Amino acid sequence: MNNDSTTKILTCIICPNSCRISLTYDPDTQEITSIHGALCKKGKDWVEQELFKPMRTLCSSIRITGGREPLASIRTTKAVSLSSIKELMELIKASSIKAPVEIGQVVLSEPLGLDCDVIITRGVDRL
Amino acid sequence: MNEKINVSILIIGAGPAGTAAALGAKEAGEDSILIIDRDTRAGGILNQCIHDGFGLMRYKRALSGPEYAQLDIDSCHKKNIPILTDTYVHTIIKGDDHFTIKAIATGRLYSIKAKAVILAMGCRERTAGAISLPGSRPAGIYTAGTAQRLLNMQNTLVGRSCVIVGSGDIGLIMARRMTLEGAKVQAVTELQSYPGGLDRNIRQCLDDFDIPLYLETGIVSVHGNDRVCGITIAPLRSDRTLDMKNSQYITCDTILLSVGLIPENELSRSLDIAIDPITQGPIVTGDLMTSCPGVFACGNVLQVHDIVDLVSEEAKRAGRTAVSFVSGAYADTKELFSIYAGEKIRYCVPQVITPSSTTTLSLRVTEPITDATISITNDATLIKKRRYSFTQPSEMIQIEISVPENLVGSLEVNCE
Ligand code: SF4
Repeated sequence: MNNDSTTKILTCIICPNSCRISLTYDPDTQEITSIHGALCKKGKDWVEQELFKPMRTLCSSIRITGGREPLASIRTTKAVSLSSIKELMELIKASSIKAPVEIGQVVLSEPLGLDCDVIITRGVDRL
Repeated sequence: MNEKINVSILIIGAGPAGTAAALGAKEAGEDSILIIDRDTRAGGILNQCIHDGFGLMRYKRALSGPEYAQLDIDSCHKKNIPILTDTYVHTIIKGDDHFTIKAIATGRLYSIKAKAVILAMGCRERTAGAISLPGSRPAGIYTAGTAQRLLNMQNTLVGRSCVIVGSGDIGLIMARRMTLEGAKVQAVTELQSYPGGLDRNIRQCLDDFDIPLYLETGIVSVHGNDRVCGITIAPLRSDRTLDMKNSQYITCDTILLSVGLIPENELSRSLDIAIDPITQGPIVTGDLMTSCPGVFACGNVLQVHDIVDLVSEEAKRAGRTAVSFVSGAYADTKELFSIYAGEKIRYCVPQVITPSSTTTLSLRVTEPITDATISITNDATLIKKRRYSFTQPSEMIQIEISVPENLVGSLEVNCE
């Protein structure tokens, strides 16, 4: 191994096999020189993405007015880049929805121009 | 008002275990089923687990807790399985050929006659008392699950600056949740040399937000009079004593405890059901029947699971076997053999087994192991062998086995 490369071990989180994938890359050029330990191709693709542009599903709550409970839970329908999560949280915190809400209902459509919707994951009945 | 109810199978708890047990029983042909839950909403703990990652095995997609729970609740509704919420089971009395269950709801007393009972009450968290946290007891100390409930159900953030003691999954999930809500999570501490929670949660809940995890670190003292104002932590030496020279004080207004879960077995104890000292859940047969014939257990009341999909699977099985018990297809003359958790195996469920049966063994290892081989043997005869490139105590391992007809003494599970 030359001095310019970095080795990292990441645990693949796609399936419960939890493969420990070790990879070596050049931090300057962002070029991956080796990947070991993935049991399948999905793991290889994931680890590349994870290293340079991690994607996450955001799960949180949204305020509900006139409901039996003060909050409904929500999530993004797709994973979004980790770096966009802070701004997305702020948008969600500034929003509120009138009860009733149902599982699957879209509350924010393509927020911040992201390729996803924000949907309800725990419904709230009207008071 | 007194109400009398007669059912074949009574299920206590409408969380993922209870609802799946009911669906399992229904699929096996039983129509007389009732589920009781003390909460207002069915779904159990999943209602407050708003993060995703549930259902990856069962549905091949990542759902949040409430969504996962709702799928089975909806199926129960569709199949006309009644769920009594806001109802608290007070006592279970064993009769000759049935059980009498006393339950309380607002303005109502139920007396329920059932032929079989499925325990699906889940678990609760270990508290500060249970781990003897040193220092004062100011306000601002919560279990991670309580803080989760307050935040996700009642919109109350318990603090602005927080240290999490213990690296169990709920603690890790709360580290992320509190960070997203604007609190500063200073650190997570763990006594062991490995985290208590799943790898995926270390990565997504701590690493994503640069929250440090201090392994092999203990609590010197909690500070504060009325409210927590800080905590002193120190690394452990190899003899497990605190290395005070390297202690550090962290300013914080809140401490969350994520130091383990305990199956909730008060009701089981009232039936004198034998409890496993390690799992703290009932001792069961391969059919998930407890030491009290006709009483079955599944989900976190039996053993604390880390993946809900496995809870549902186990519970369905309990539902099916309860039906075979009720229909009389059950010979109680079957001889029982014990399963012995041997080398590097912390526990094994079921704890007893009958010859020529098939079952799923659930087990955990005692420490992180690379290139682990788990073998199940009986009197030097190998029954099954499985290899794992890596395993650790936070991952439950399940192995399906066919128990041979002729057993000599106990079955042994070992890891090397
Ligand atoms: S690499 Fe493939 S097999 Fe291994 S954990 Fe990832 S998805 Fe699963």
